[in-house]
Parts: sequence; structure tokens; C-alpha cells
Amino acid sequence: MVGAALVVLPLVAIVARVDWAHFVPLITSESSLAALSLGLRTSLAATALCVLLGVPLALTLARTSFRGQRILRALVLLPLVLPPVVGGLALLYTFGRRGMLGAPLRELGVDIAFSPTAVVLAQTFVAMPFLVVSLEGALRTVGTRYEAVGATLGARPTTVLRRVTLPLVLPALVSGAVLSFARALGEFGATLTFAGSLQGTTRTLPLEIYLQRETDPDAAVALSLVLVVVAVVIVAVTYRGRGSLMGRTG
Amino acid sequence: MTLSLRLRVDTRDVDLDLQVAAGETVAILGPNGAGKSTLLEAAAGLVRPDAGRAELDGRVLFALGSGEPDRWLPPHERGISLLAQEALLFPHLSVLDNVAFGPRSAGASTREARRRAAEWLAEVDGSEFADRRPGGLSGGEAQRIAVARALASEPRLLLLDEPLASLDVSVAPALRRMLRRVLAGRSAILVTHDALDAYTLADRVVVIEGGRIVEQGATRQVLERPRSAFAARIAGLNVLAGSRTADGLRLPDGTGITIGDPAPAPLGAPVIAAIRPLAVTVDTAPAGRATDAPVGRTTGLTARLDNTIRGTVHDLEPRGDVIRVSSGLLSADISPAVAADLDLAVGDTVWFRFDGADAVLYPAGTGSGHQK
Repeated sequence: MVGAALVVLPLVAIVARVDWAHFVPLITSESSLAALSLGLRTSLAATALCVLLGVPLALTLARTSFRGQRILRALVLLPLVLPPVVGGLALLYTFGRRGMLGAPLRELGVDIAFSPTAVVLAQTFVAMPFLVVSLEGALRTVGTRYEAVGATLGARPTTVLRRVTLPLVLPALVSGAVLSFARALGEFGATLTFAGSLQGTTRTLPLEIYLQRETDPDAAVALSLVLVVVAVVIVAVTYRGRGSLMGRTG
Repeated sequence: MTLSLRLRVDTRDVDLDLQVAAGETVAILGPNGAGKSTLLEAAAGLVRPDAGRAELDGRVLFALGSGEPDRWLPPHERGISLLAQEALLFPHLSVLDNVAFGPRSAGASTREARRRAAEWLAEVDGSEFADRRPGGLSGGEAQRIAVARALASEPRLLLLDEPLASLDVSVAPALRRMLRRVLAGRSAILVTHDALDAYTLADRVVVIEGGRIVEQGATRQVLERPRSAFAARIAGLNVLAGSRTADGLRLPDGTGITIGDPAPAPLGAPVIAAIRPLAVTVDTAPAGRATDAPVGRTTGLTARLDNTIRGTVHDLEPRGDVIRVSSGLLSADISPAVAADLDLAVGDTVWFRFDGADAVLYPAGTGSGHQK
């Protein structure tokens, strides 16, 4: 009960602190809307990137075995426990203007640091483990028996992947993607460190909240409430969606 | 010859050589861990043997360490379907689309694949389930659909891994009949523990123990005159191996057994006597009483229990209306009343007795069977 109180009380506190009279103007100010829109767009892009990169990674981890696989798995999951600000620094030294890849990319005219692309990269970095963990677990649970049946029925490996494996793990893929989206939307430390805080370019909602807190606490609280509501909706959809998706697909 | 298969898997100590003729169904019998599943998995391409060679209808399935360049055909190019104990229907597809999966994978259009699937569903009396999800089917229904799905891919060889083992005894007979119909004229390998499956479905029986073939031959020959201990157990027979004497056989320990109708084998040749446990009785003293005629002896009191073999009770197992008393060598099915009178316990010394006229004597090493 104490544990539940620790989670619930702060939520009550922030709701109590909301300045309802000015709520709508506060969250529809130019800077708020810019932050919200940027956050949504980058988070969606980051989620797409998580799926694109995370699915092959999860398949590799769950369906093959090779030397160093355990180490690879541990490294892939590292962003889950790594302080985001450290992740941001690491990204800065990779894709930053003087970074390992950033410098050669800059020669080619591609400048990533302090751009929306940097925001997407930072969000993908911290969010992808959610998708990989969820999907790899599901792949292991489903096992390879259905895939073997598919193969003995004459299906090529790509057909088996498309018609057997992915449909079987679709619920986990969806919930993993939703969790990744949520994590991306709330991402702060890595974004601030790697992408900075330029309004309309790299300043997402959490950065806006942090900034407003200094000058206009009421605006910060109102925007926080928006993120709380988004989080509640996502949790509800993930849990209920998991049930109904399971029912429909397996 | 449809299939010739030779394989060695060192980690599982399996070394087998098997042929299946066109249209022939071969039953594989053997204890758990004997290598039956390894055989099927290697044929289907799911397990890679250490060495061996397999050919199906003139196409090389694999050739590994056999003197020619190594070859390995992936499972989907083999034309071999595998039907397992569990139906393993794809839960996200309708029953019809499950059956259509094979034709679709072979390149048929969705419409054509569904048309063929509907035909196969009708063949297994499963048309009514076409639009349902597999989740709601009973075990027997799901297994029927799985049969249709396996056949719809038009395999050159069908592998069946104990397809009836997980089914309720009340639905197994119908499915067995259906399998008999669809397996007729088809090349198939059937792994089973059930003599009835072998009798009903198989033209030929191969017995595997410890990763080696220990016996093979026509189904009736193997199950009625078994040479291996496992085949005898599946067939529900006691087998005694020894050498031929003038009136029967002599066991390795010197015990002489008198058989009513000795087989035409030369004196001293290895022979086997088979006798049903129902024709054997048990006593706690060497000299029998007049009332202990075997349960399975219809001639009752006229039985001449002229053979006596001493043994130690290893196991007492109720089987329906009889109690099976087993020693290492012989089993006897006796009535509960007699078992109660004798007050038997594991470890007791008993005398098994039977009439030689109830036993069958046959040569141990003839026919196509490999001698154990």
C-alpha cells in the first residue's frame, strides 16, 4: 500500500496544483504547441526506427546463436539502465560535430547534432530496448515449432517470417512499439545533452516543461498533466490492447 | 524406391538405414529415446545428421560425409510434411487458411489455394470448421485439420509422429480410420507406440532400440512372431529365446521348455517361443494346484501346465480385470482372486507355468528381420 501511495500521491499532487482557469491557454501557447508537435513527430519517427531496427535485432537474439550473443544482448539492453544523460554524451561523441561518425558525415554535408534528427536518434537510443525485450521474449515463448511446421509445408524462410512468426508475435510487437513511443515521448536527458533545447527544432515537451518550471510554474504543471494523461492512456491501451490482441491473434 | 535414408547422429547415438517403397506406410516402433524422432526430424530437414545420405524420388535430400560433396536441402524444398502429436494449427489463421497454407506457399493464388483447402477439408470431414479459428477446436478436430493441412501441401512423403497419442480414446478410432483411408497408396513413415496403429496403418514395421534397427518385417510377421523385446512388449507377448531341442527349446540357463508344435528349425538353431501372458499362470510353490488354470485358457482344467520357470516378481500391475505379474523373463496375467490368494509382493520368488501347446515356436533369425 505504501508503494502504491508513493506512485499515486505525486500524481494527485500535480493534479491538485493545476491552474484550471488558465489550463487551455497554458497548453496552447505557441511554445507549448511547438514542443508538443515536435515531440509527437520525433517520437513517431523514433518508434518507426525502433521497429525497423529492433525487429531484426530481436530475431537475431531469439533465433540464432553465435559467439558473444549474450554480450550483444546485454549491450542492447544497456540503455534501459544507463542514465540518459550518459547516453546523450555517448551519442554526442558518435554523431556530434566532432564525433566518430559525425565528423565524416559533416564532410558530406550531413549535420546531425542539434537537429530534430538528433532528437529522433536520442529517443531511439533509449526506447529501442523496450521493443527488443518485449519481442525477444515473445519469440522465445512462441518457440520454433510453428515455424518448423510452416517450413515442412513448403514455406520459404521469408514466407514463414511473414505468415507465421510475425503474426504470432504481433501483440508483443504492438505493445513493445507503444512502450517505445511512450519512452520516446518522455525522453529528456539524452535529448538535452545530444540535441540541445532549440524551440521548434529540438525542444520536446519534457524540455519545455523543465524550462517553464523556472519562469512559469503554472505552464509547467499544465504541460506535465498532458504527459500524465498520455502516459495513462498508453498504459491503459497496452494492457487492454494486449488482452484483445491476444484474443484475436493467438 | 521412394525414400532411402541413412543417417548417423553422434550426440544421440543414432545410426539408421531405412527404405520406404512407393505407396508404402512403414511404422517405426521403439522405446522413448530410441531415435524415432531423430529419424523423422532428419528426414524433414529439421535436424542435421553428422553423416548420412537421403534420397526421395531420385532427389538428394542430403548427403553429408558420404564421399560426395556435402548437400543439404532445406525443409521447404523437400516435399515432406510432418504431422506431430499436437496439431500445431496456426492460431492466427482460420481453419481454411491453415489448410491453404501449403498450396499458398507452393505459389497458388489465394483463391486457388482456398479451393484446394476446401477439398481437403471435405476429405477429413472438416468442412464445417472452415471459417473457425483453431482455438475453439477439440483435440480430435484439430488433428483432423492438421492431417488435411499436411496432405494439402501434396507431400511426396508424409511423416506422422504419434499422431493419435494425445487424443482421447473415444476419438482415436475415427481418426485412425480416416488415416487408413488417406494413407492408402501414400508413402509414409509412422512413429507409434500402439500395436493397433501398426496393424491398421502400416504395411511394414521397423523396430528401433538404442538408435539401431533391431527388427523389421511385414506388420503381422513382426507383431505375431516378435524377435525383439520391444516388439514383443508392443504386441503384448512374452518371448523366450533359446536353442531348438527335440520337443521345444532350451533357455540359456539350461531350462528345457516343451512346445506343442515345434517349428521346422534344425536342432540347436536359435529359436524363439512366444506366449501370451493370459496363458501363463503363477504359483508360490513349484508344484501347482489343480485350480490355477490360466485366465486365458478356454479349455480350463484340461491345461497341462508342463512348463515351469522360476522367477522373481519385479512388478505387479492391475490391467483391467487381470493383474499382470512380471519377472525379468515372463509376464502372467492372473485374476485378482488368484493374486489375493497368493498374497504376492514385489521380490517374491514365484513359479510361472504354462502349457506348451499355448506357445508358438519360430526361428530367431530368419526373414528380413535383423537378429538382435
